[in-house]
Amino acid sequence: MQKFTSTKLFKVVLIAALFMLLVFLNPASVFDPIRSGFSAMLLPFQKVFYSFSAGLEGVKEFAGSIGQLKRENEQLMRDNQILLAENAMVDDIKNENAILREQLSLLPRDQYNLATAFVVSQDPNGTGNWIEIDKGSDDGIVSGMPVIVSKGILIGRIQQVSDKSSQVILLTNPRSTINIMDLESGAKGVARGEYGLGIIFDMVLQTDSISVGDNVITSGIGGEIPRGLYVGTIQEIHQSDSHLFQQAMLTAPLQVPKLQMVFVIKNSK
Amino acid sequence: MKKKLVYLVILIATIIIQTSVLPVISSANTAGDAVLMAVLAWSVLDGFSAFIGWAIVAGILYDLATYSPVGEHVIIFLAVVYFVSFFSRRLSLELKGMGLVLFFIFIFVATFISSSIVALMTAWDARTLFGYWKMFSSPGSIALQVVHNVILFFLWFFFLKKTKEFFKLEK
Repeated sequence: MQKFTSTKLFKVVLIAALFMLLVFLNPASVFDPIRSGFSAMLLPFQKVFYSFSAGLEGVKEFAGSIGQLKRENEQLMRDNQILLAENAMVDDIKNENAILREQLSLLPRDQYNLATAFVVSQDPNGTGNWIEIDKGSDDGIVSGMPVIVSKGILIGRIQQVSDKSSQVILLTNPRSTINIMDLESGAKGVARGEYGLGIIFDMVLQTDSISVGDNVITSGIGGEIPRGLYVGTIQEIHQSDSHLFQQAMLTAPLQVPKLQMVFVIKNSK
Repeated sequence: MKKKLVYLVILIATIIIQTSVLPVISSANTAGDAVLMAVLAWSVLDGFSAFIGWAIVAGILYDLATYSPVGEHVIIFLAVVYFVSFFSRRLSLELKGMGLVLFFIFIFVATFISSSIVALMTAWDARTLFGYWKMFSSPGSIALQVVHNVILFFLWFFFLKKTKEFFKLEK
């Protein structure tokens, strides 16, 4: 017995058991201040390295895609003409909507108080579960705030907040669930992360109609995330395992691992 | 003191590379694990007794930097350090003159241990066993991860060896 307690195996098992206990207890209040200090120390270096790597990746992608550029350019010209026409129609509808809102004394939509943030690190397991941004509680960021890119494309929400940085749980994270709706049919459900592999539009009633190609936006139910943020497009529809609901795989409009800048919605104006 | 400082700087630099460089320049799901490979290379160079304390420090710092529950990577690194210590003596006798084969075995097993534990933690968090297999990823991407890890291991192995020689660091 005396001999076994001095073996390497005993030491490893004992230390591992202690840390396993720590993992399951997960005393956040003890480690959060340490994590916050450590993150603040790493932040300037992470910012420089992330930006450099993103630049390097951009150059690599550009060099590898020169041959495709001409073809893509022609396609984009065609798409642009269609979008210009659609845009004119949307502007018209927007004006009409503004007039109607004014008449009904409603506040204007889609005006957010945004905080611009740079991405400084990502999930190291390469599974697209989270990113880290360089804004934290010092900048008024709190847990639960939605995070978007460009004009209203939702990518996730704030999870853990340190003084100078925050963790953003992406829509593809299995812990992420967000209320969404089909823009075309109005069918409601939840967006659930699929272990970094994609987003599932889940809990859609059998009586609701959803189709491949439909756009999906946030429904605003629950109030934490404003209505109308773009989530993705329906790629494939199938039944849930229990056959109680319909499920759909969504395609996200952008590659999150290549992101450099995001916006946190601090509140809707 | 010099050794502690050099090791700490290398460890922090490796964590920054792992969180801010590799996921950006690698394709999704196949980023290698620089910290895991640094720990593996260190345990091959320093041995169990000299490195076990550093494996714990590396695990805690890595967990703090990646928002993981503190202890997750400590368990992974302890398993890897013990595996290297246990099998290096036994396998080196049987596979005499085949050090490279031994390294490849270590890299494969370390990658497997790491993927298994990370997937288990995620599945536990999401409360689904189904999630375990999703997280564990396909054999193809595990193989690609091993290839990345082989490159990272040899980079770290020679870098750490040269650093130890340069700073004249004893075990």
